[in-house]
Amino acid sequence: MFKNNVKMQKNIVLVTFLFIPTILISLFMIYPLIRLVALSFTSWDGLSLTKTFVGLTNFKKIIFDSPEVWLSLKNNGIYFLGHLLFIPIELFLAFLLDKRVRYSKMFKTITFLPYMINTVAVACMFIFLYSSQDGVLNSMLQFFHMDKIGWLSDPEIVNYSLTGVSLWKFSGIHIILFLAAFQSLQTDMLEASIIDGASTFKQFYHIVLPNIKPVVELVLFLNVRGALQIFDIPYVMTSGGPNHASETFTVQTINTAFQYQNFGLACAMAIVLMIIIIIFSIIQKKLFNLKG
Amino acid sequence: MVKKKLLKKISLSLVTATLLSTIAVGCSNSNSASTASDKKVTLKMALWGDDEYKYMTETNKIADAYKKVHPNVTIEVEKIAKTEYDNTMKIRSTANQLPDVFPVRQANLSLYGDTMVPLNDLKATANNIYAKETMIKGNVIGLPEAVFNEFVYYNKNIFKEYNLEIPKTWDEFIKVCQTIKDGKKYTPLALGLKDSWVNYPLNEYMPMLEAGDGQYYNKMATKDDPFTKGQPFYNAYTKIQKLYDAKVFGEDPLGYGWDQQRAMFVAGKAAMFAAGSWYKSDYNQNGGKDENLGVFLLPTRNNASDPFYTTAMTEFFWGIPKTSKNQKEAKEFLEWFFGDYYTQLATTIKIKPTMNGVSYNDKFFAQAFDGVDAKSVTVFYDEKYNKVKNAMKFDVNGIGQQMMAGKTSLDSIMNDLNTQWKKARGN
Repeated sequence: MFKNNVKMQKNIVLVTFLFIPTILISLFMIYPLIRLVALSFTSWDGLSLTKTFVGLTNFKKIIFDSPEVWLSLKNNGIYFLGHLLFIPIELFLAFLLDKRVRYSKMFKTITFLPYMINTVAVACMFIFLYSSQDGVLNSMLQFFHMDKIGWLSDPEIVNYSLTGVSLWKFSGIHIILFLAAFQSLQTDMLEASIIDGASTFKQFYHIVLPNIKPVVELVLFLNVRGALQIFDIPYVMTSGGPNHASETFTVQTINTAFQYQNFGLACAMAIVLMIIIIIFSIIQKKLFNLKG
Repeated sequence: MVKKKLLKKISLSLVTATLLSTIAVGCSNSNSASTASDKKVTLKMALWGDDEYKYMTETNKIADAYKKVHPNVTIEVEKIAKTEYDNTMKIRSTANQLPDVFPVRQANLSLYGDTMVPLNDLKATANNIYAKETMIKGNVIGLPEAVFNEFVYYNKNIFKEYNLEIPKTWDEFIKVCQTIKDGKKYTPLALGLKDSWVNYPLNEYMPMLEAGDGQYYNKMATKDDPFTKGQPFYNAYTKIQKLYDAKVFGEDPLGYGWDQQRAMFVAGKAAMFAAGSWYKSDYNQNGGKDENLGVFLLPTRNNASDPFYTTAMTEFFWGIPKTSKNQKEAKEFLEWFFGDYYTQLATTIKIKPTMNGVSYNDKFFAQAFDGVDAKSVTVFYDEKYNKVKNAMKFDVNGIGQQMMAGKTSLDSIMNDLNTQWKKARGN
């Protein structure tokens, strides 16, 4: 009797605590996902009452008949590579900030600040910085008697300029994650290595790095997801221009839905993106674990 | 034991009550005014125009004015930011939450073909100059409120400084730009191409002016290769390329946008600015003074003896969604709205009217038509064109950016367009 009572109470508590989160997840994640999948098989224009079923047509169109979509994915690749190349630098900065420099607390705050600023505000700030009319960067170039650069107007440069903004904004969170991993390390291992005469590099490579592997994996996953889903920076700063040169996959998806009234195709693009992120993450995880 | 049971019962009933109340709140219908037994009706309106909203809620309150004629009807006006308007309406449409009366942007008109109530039988429709020209699937689904002409705004002082006259042909226009450029003091024509839409007076409208047909894009949708040499689109783009090649938009037109473009013009750093009549209020709101401001029509013709075409773009298509529970009242409202109230509205906010019998005498814009035998072509995009456009993601303003970047030849751009257009039509 007493046992049953406790079990019953446990169940009530469980149901009570889980009910709201379950409802929220179902409403805001599972239901939209099901709708997204369902809409991806239609040619819905975003307004009509009828949604015509078109089977796999949207997916076929994306894979075999949409070179512009794959070109935009190439732009995502620039963000991905930029952030990937920056990870060792972020690791090093986090290593320094872990009580190895003076005023590390102040530097930690400064490092994290860009991440806390609204992305639209960051984008607007960089628009002025990159401006060809009266931008700071071009003024500096002119001061040194160099030619102006079309940071946002040259199709060959624009994606690198935007990647720079993304690095400025998101590196802070990576550094803080690495820093948290460093601080959770047990100091006795490091102390032992110091006694054994290991250099700072050896300490880092043989002790620190293997122990923060889960965090590195997390940052790599965040990089794949973030780079493939980047939207706000190119959308606010260039609207994907000039002439679609800085369009990313997500900007293409939004334009397909809202500018070209093809919600069915846009939903299919969202699913393709989801699959690409999963595949990339798996490949990255496998490659990362090869060495381990 | 008894205490525990009691506690359990209380907690269970609390949880149940919370859940039931949540479900009840979620399922309740907030739109209850429309079906009240005393026949009181609330008509919900939404719009994006700043001037219209100010007039309807402050200058001449539409709710009060309509209450005098229909005491049982309450009008609620909601303003939605113009940048959010289209998407907000789409979202509301999918949620069956569209207001009873609202304007549709012309660019989206064909999309709303099945969503809106036909207004063919209204007196206001018969009295509207453009309603029959802008039908979707044979029905008038929206009554245009205003018509906009496109102009080139210019700084009179700069024109005086260089002793320039109003150009009458395309070559004269380029020559005027070139003269100002040679002076090295001002940007001849402000065009912030970082925002691609700003080149719409050129890249979007010039093919229509070249063809002398506001529905030229609709005709293009019936052909496989409308971008071929000799066709109006190709000819218009050759002229645009000539202007772009003259480099009269400042150092790096792809590097600055709309905000900088208008700031340059208001500050007197740019001599000309191509935009519709809608820009005038924006110019004044940003501190621009009328004394120095002049307007002329964009002269796209080759010779002074050719016809002088100018575009007339109808906008704000007021309509009623099929989901409205107050369709009868909404139709009555539209009949009333496009009567005396509309005349006062059009006069006060200085829009070019779309209704017969409403006089229009804007002296500022009248100067553009002085001494020119201009022929208006009414811009309209039908369903066929929109289908092809959406299928191939046809973006004329993006092409403008590509032309400005100068890395692809015009012929190559046009050949690509022909291929894509044919494919899109085939699909």
